[in-house]
Amino acid sequence: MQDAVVMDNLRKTFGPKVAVEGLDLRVKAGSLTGLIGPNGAGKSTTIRMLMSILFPDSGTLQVLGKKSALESKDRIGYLPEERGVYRKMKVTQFLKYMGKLKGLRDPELSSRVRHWLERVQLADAANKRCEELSKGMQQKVQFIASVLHEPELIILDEPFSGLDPVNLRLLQQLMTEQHQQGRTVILCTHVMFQAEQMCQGIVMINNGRKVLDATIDEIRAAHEPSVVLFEPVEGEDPQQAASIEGIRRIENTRDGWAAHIDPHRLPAPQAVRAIANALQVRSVAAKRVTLEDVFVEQVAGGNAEKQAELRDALHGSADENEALEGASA
Amino acid sequence: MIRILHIAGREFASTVLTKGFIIGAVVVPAVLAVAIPVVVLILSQQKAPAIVGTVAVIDPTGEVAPRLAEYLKPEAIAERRGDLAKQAGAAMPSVPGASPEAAGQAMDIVLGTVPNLSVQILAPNADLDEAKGRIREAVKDDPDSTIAVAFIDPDAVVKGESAERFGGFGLTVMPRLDERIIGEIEAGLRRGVLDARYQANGFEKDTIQALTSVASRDTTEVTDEGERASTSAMSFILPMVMMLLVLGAVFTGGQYLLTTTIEEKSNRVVEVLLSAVSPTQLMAGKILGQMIVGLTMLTIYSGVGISALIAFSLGDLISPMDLVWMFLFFLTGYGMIASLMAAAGAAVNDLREAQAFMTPIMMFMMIPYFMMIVVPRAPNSTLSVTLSFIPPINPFIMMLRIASNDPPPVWQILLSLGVAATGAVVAVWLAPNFRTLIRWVRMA
Repeated sequence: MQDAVVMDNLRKTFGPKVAVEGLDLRVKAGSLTGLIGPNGAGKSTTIRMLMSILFPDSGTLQVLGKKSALESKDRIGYLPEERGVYRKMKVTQFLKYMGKLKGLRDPELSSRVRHWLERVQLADAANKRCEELSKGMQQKVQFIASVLHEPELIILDEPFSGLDPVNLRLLQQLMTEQHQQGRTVILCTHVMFQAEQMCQGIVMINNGRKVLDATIDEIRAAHEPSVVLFEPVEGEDPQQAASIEGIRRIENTRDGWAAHIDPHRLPAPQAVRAIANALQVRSVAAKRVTLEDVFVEQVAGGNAEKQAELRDALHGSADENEALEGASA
Repeated sequence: MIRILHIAGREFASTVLTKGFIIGAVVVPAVLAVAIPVVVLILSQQKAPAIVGTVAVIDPTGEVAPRLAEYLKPEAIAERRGDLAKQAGAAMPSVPGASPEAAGQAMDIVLGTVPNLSVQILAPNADLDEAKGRIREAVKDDPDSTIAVAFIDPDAVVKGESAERFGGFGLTVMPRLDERIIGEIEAGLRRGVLDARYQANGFEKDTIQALTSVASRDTTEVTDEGERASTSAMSFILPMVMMLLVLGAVFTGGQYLLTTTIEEKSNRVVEVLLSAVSPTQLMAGKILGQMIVGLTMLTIYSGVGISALIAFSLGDLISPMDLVWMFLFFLTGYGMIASLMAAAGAAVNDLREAQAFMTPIMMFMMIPYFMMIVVPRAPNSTLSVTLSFIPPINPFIMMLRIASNDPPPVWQILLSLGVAATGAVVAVWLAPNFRTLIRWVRMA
């Protein structure tokens, strides 16, 4: 399969700060790839270089077979992280303007604008000024602007931030549809949970460097579960499990008691059996490995303090995670 | 190219359809055109109530007070104003629409309604302090109330034998008395003293006045259409007007460019736009759009001005070539100023921050204002010629020279235009450079 995006050894600095360093990346045409990492990892800078809004200090890139996005902007749909609308413009007017800049012409343009406004349940807002819309509604308008011209490559930078669960699910569905229609989609997010749910391929970035580039299946196959969740019966001391060889520590989490294991010394299935034998439990099961676990393991290794810091950085606000989980339920 | 036109079209439409632009470009000139004649009409109809009262005079000479009484008679005041109006009309032949009648109306507005004053001659030895005391008891609009007291020195008409100079007069008036009335009384006293002195010395008053006055006819100028009153005043005003037109249009476009650039950054719409067009296309579209805005302003205002000149048969004061130069210097001047404004807009986040960048630009652009009087008086002086080749002010200085009485040679105009065009190209190239755009994105 042909590559939609190719980056070779990209480097970008802002004064003394190195935003992106030695980045190699290939995104296959027709794939749905997640570009993930904590805030400030260099994701948006990478995307901006991809879009020729910023230019790399060194390295080369290709977009849809061209040397830069400037030569193929009509074939790319981009929803930037720093996005906005002309506040005084009417919704239809704004979308038509963006469509014209992307090379669309009436009557097809008008018909597509109508279709998309109906699709995202904004038909009633067609003649409202953009400033009259809620943030979530504006975000849907911006999404339409990025896909209106039916691009081959769609790049969405933090598309779900600030959306309520209902609109989040709608946007997920629309993205999936675009992918199913054969378009290449790059989802750029710091919420790894989202990427895990939707993407086939994952590229992890931290401090401007790529730390992982693989498919979800490959990642799961390569990373043994490292946590076993269990629920002891009343009167049982969960810390007893800490004495089992291969278990690093026991902690109480939102999901229940968690035994952190060293999968090389004690694989998850054995750990489940060992805990069930060591104490009376209502339930015990290996926790499926998440992208966050993989990211933390890749970056922090066994350093518990660094792991905690990373998880804090990744989670952002608790509310956001709850909203995301609620939406996916 | 079509995308640049789309961006320019949006810039133009979003600017000219704002209330601010419509008020500034259309409503204000329309309101002025209607309001000025109406205000003049209202003022000409408006007669303030006449000031009435008595002027008490202590005149030991016995010669001045009767003359003052004659001088302050309402009919005498009205007659003098009529003469003054005729003189004013004759003194302003080059002002379009000036006539003795119009000057008379203007004089009424300036001098107010003819006062109704009477003169009470007190005894030569009357007590001055007692007379002044009457002023405190004066009642408004009472013809018998004393509103002023004049005292004539005994030697005001005939000098004392050993004295070097004549005596004079003193005047005391009620508080807040209209300064035009005070001036009228002072003038009457001065006239009375002088006339009394002429008579005392055996001179004929009319002879002295005839000897000291020289009549002059209106200055005229010869044109292809014939002879007409001199337009020297218009020739002085015209360069200023043309320069201000170009400067105003350039700044209008530049100012809108600055604000829309800042608006796009604060709305965070700039990165959305950059996903569809290149930075150069975006900037070119914005500059083009606001240039058309400035051009619209220039066309409206210069159209009104030219219509006014034609209406007063002064259309030949501006040649078609002057208009061509005006539009060419607008384009180049706009290129330079707008690029500086766009760079300022790209480098900051809000208008308050933009002021820091605007201040040096504005200070530099004040130079044409300072030169507005100097250059038309000496359009080919070293200063004028030098300034007309220094960007970014040269388009404005050159407009002052072109519209002056002594326009520069064509080669100088073309050279200045070349300098301005080069400046515009350099400024356009410098303004939207990549470094600036990085700041756009990073600071958005």
